[in-house]
Amino acid sequence: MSHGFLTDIVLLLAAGVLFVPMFKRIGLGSVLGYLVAGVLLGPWGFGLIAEPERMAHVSELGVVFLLFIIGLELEPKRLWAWRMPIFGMGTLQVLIVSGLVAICARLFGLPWNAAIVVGVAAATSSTAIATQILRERNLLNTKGGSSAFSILLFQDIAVLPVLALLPHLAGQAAEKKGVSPWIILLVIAGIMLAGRIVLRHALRIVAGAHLREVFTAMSLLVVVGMAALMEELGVSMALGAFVAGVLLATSEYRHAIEMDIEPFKGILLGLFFVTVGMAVDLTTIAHQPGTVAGIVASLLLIKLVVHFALARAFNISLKERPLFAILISQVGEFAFVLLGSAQVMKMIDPEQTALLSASVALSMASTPLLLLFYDRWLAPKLAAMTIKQPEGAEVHNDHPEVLIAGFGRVGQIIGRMLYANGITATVLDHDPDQIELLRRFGFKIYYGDATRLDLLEAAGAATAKVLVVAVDDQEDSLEIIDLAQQHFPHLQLVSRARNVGHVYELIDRDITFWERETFESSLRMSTEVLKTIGWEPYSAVRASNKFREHNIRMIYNLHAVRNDETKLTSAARQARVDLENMFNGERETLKSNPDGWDVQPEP
Amino acid sequence: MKIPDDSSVLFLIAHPYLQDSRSNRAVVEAVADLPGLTVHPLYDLYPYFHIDTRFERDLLAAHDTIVVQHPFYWYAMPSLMRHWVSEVLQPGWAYGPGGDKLKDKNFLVSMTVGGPEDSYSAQGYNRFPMETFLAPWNQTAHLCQMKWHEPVILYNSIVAQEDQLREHGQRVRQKLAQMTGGSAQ
Ligand SMILES: Cc1cc2nc3c(=O)[nH]c(=O)nc-3n(C[C@H](O)[C@H](O)[C@H](O)COP(=O)(O)O)c2cc1C
Repeated sequence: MSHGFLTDIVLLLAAGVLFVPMFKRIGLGSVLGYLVAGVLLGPWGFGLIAEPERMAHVSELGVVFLLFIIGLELEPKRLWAWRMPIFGMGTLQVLIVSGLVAICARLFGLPWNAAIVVGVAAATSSTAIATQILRERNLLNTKGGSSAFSILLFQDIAVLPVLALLPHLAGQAAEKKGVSPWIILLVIAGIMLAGRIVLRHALRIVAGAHLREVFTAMSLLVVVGMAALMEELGVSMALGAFVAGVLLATSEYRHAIEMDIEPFKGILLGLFFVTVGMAVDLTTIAHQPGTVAGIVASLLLIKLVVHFALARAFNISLKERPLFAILISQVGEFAFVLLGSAQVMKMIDPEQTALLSASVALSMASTPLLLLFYDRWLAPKLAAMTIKQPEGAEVHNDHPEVLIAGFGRVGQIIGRMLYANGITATVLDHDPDQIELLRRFGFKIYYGDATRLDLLEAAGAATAKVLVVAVDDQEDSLEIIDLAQQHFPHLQLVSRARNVGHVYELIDRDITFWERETFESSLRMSTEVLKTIGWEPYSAVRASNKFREHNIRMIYNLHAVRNDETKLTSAARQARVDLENMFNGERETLKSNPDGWDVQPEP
Repeated sequence: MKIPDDSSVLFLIAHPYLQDSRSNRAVVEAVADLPGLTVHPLYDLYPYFHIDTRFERDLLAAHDTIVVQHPFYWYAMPSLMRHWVSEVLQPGWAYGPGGDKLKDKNFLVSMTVGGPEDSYSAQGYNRFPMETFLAPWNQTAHLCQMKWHEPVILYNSIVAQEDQLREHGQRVRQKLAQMTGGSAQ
């Protein structure tokens, strides 16, 4: 093929656009769509891609971005709580699976050292596939999901020593080329300590410039820079990105960064699956279909059984066990690297490598199919069986009950009042200076424009109960309300109103609770005036209560007749008419204490 | 608000429109100048019905004699007085295990009643004697281990003449003097 990189990109995008919707439609999921597209485009398919290696390298960033986003969603506190599954379950999973697979490989005639490499390769799971599913299905908050993710994290860490040991296994003298593990640890520790502060400051400065694209560039720089640094050290890029994500998880810019990275992640991850598809060696499969099928089936069987047993041992509920087992049942992309190196070191021959690599790719393709089976058959059965079983979900506050859009004078009071009562609302605001100040007082605040659907979504609108719309701009307020009503119909809306005109717009939208920002405080003040000129306090309060009642009733009445007129009159004129109507109506609320008691009723 | 330091009688008054009530004003005016007596107008202090319960308890604890003055509304006390009882008299403080902060204090109900005295009997149109309606206050005092004193009641309060009101005010004043052993005259 004589075409270049650009044509490759066009082909990849076109294949993605064509296959992914198709596969999604049939219910096979996007991952399989990408894989098949890869197979067709790849050297063993139509051989349309000129530079598959280069593609593969670029597409690795997809996994990097994915892990970064996951890191963003994990506060260090939560990660710390997972140390047990990471190191306990992770170690067991890697040891048991690689042991069993190594024994099988040995039985099939591989020498011990090769058998061990194959075993370890088989034990790894695909971070890309599994994590993508975890996120898609929002499983990180379940015990099964977080355990699966913990194991993936451990595998990513375990990869380091395995790669270092490879030359020893091959019987070669290890040529000293990697960076010493101590230096790696030191660098990571340094990043953990300083990165947080440095990154935050840098982000604040960039955000302060109010240039959207520069902020996006900054986000990309953080991720790619971190990944590059880690690769330089010989650590998995994905792990580096994950660390960067965790560092920023508590940052107020978390949502903004997440939104910026998300589309890149999506495209690159798709590309990644395509390149995996390109690695599927169709000729090998065609020549030895039985052998490949046998290998894939045994690998899946071993992994599924071990995972099931682990889930049981670690008290994952029966309902979650199958999904947990399936999630990490495929063999991961790291196996390609290991097998490739093993071949280079002459531990396995090229034919064996081709056979195993094809099996690995097929095992990846099996996950969407297993999931399909799980969703259609297993899940309904399990649901019926285990209704009484308590949910294994852990408690955390990543799903706030209350969102507050706009943290100005109004939103602040609401936020503080809730906070005082133990309810930490998630706050959306677009003024970084103010955010920083308030964050120091312990508020959970995120930077962004609340009229954006993706920000509302990222902040947790899908699971929150209430959205307080406290922005000061009327247009923005109505825009947010329209968005929320359209996309999150379950959300209760509590809205700040600038004035009566705004109130009418809110009534049009059937908002049950609205409050004029100045009304209640003005009533309080008028009550105080009455007291000062000699009214009894309770009479003054009563008068203001009556005024409120009357005023709200009148607003609804005027709203009913107003709609026909508004079309004819200007907004300013309408405001004057409204005011006049109110003055006339309110004259009726004179001071009147309730009537007394009739002392002499009919005997 | 602060706790007066040389006061022994706490005179709670609960009338939503005190300025409009001749009878209740008459009583307050008759006792207000007694030394060691603090008038505590609930509706003026808590017109929004949010009661500062800690302050109320400190205030109660600082006095030996508690008087509640209120009009008779629907065979009971006005709503803020009722709310005050519910909010302030907490278990473990006013009653129940460890609740002895009101123990041995004098307790007096002073009420203005619109109906005539004879209507409060089995034969009258109000069908029950006044003791029946006062039972909630009586038992409240008992539960809190306070000393119950015979209530001072002004019947026909709405139609009472000026001299009758003045006379009733003096009755309340004398009752207080008698209860406190002359410390308040
Ligand atoms: C809402 C209300 C309920 C009343 N219920 C009674 C009652 O049940 N029995 C009675 O004798 N008088 C009743 N009265 C009359 C009051 O006891 C009487 O108005 C009060 O003692 C005198 O205070 P005033 O000067 O504010 O009217 C009632 C008065 C009001 C306003």
